Amino acid sequence: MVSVAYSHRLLCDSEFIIWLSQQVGRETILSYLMHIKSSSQDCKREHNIILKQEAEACNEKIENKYMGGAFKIVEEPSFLIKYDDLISKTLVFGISLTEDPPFKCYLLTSPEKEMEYKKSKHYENVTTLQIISGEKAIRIIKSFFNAFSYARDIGR
Amino acid sequence: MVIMTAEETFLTDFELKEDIIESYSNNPDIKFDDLNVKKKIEAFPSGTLLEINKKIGSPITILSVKEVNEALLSSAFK
Repeated sequence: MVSVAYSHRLLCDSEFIIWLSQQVGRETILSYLMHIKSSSQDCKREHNIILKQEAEACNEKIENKYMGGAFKIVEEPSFLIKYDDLISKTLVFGISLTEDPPFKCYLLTSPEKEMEYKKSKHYENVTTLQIISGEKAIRIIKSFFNAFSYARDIGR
Repeated sequence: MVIMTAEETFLTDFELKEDIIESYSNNPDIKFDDLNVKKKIEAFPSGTLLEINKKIGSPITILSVKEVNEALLSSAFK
C-alpha cells in the first residue's frame, strides 16, 4: 500500500486552478495532485480540498470529474456562513483544516491573489496555514509527488 | 452491454490500484461486468492511479479502468 505522511494538507481556490490551466505541463501537475490525494496517510482521498463554490468558479477551465480526482470538493461548512467574502471563508476554512493531522496546510492560489489573502485580518499571526502561489506552489506539489514516488518504488 | 435503470447512476472515480483491490476483496457488493477488467487491474504495477468507471446500484459494478497518465488528462483542461 502506498501511503505517505505529507507535511501539509492542500487547499486551493479557483484562482489557482485558472492559473494552472494556463501553464505548460498542467496535466502533469494535475496527475501529481491526484496521486497525492489518493496516497495520503492522514487524510486519504481528502488530502486536497476545494470549497464547492470555488470549484464551480472554474468549471469553464477544467472538467468536473478531473477536478474531483485532484481535490475533494466540499460543501461550505456552517461555521463559514457568518463570513461575507470568499477570501475570509477560504482562510478560515484553511485554518480549520489545521486542527487535525498533519496540523499544517498550504493554501494554493494565484500570484495575483496571494497578497489579498496575506493582507486579510484573518491571516494575522497565523503560522499553521501558509499561502503559496505560482512556481513555489508547483515546487511543493512536485516535492510531495516525489515522496509518493519514493514510497511507491519501495513498495515494488 | 450495460443497461441503465432509474436506480443506477454512473460515476467516475480515481483510486490507486491497491485501494481498488482492497475494495473488491473486502466488499462482496462490488462486482465486475467483465472479469477481464479485474485481471487488467491486477496487472498494473503497484501504486498505479486508475480512473474507474462504476455503475452505482446494487451491486456496485466496475465497468472499466484506465491508467491516469498525461494522455488521459490531456482533455481535463478546457
